[in-house]
Amino acid sequence: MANAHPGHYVAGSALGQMLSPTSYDLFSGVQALPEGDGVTGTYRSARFTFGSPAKGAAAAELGSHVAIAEGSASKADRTVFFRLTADLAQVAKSVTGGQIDGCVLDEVAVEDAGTIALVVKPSIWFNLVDFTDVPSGSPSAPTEIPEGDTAQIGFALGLVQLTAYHFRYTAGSAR
Amino acid sequence: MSDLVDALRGMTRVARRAAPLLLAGCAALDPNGSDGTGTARFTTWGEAYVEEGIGPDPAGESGFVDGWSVKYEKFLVVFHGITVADQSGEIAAHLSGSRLVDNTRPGKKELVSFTGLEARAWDRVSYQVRPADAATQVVTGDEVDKELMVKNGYSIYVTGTATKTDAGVVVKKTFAWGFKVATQYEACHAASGGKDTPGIIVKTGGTDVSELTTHGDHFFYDRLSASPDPTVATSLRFDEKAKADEPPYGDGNGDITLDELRRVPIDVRTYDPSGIDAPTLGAFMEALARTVGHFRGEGECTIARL
Repeated sequence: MANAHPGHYVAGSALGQMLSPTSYDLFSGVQALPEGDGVTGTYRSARFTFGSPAKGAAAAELGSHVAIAEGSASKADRTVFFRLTADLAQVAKSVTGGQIDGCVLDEVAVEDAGTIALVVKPSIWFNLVDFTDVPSGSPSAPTEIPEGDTAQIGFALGLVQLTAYHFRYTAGSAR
Repeated sequence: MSDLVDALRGMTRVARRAAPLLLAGCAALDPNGSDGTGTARFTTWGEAYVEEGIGPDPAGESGFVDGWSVKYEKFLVVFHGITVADQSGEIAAHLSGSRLVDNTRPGKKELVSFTGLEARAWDRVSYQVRPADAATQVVTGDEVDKELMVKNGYSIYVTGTATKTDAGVVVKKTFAWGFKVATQYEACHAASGGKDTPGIIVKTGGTDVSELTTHGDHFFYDRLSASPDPTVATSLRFDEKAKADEPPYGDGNGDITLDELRRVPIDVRTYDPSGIDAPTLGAFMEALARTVGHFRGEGECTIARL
């Protein structure tokens, strides 16, 4: 087999962490993540980790899935109502243990407590999803796209795209 | 890894302290008359894949899984900023200019030699592959190649022919792809004596040779990074590139362009862009272009955009 080269990204020393697993419905607006710990230093990248089974606010709906997306996709005069899911085992085929290393954290010298905002960009999750062959479904009965379907594979690959996760630190009292 | 470096540094310190006691002997034993310094020489080579081509291999061990063969006609790479340093930031040597090489030409090509380097471990070796400029020195290739690189802002330019025999019919596609990517290859390391060794070790009176190897198979990977799942192989594929030349993506003229490749969505059933935002074959291959640079054969460097 040809050798792809996994060694091209080398993470720096960890300066902070928030290891409490949690989950949210991204439609619920800005949510407060559990508090984390950190030390002073220059922060410039971050890791986002998918875990299973889900814990937190959306755990009941997620179950063993790491992400669920439900909605409609339109192109020209066609609309597809869909429901997509992905599991940890599938994500872990792309990234070890569901860990997405090397996400952008706007470089900053951290000297005091503050807030790190994680912005999730679900639009990136759909960069590789092609709905062309997905049955249209309906608002009340969206098409459940099964694992292994081309659109579902694209969704799972989209979940691990680095640009879907952006971290930013703001100094001041943590909230 | 750091233990090894520390050990080597410890040895250097011991050698320095012992130097006055050994001077008399050194004068006779060291025909180079060196004084605790050595040379770091940098070369480049494209290996057999670039010089001779990449064949088919259904097993995926050493060729295309889909029956294609590729023969390069040009494999131009512009090297800049070769730097020998250590982790404290001390820089022993730096190439301020740049070198243009056609690695389809046989053999190893000289990039630069740094003489008079302190004999010790230099564990931070780096280089860049970025666009040519007017001052770029042509090592192999010719001035026409350089003009093409400078005019178009290319750092890498490859041309070649891909062939496949399908049901007795030979299918042939040509390609000429110029990449403008600027990439920093940092903290290069490679296996040496069975151990992964960062950078280079300069020995007194000796010449350490580092090959900045270019891997010609990378453009055709179906993943950017190896899967953590050992059952998921990384393969070389060309079928999708060939189809990029056909309608609705291409003009069917037998030549595959990067513009045509940029119109082809990544087939997620066979490709994994490994977290990189590369929704098309063209974008994916541009990302792969950043990975062609290596260190001492299979050794690697940490890659960053410039």
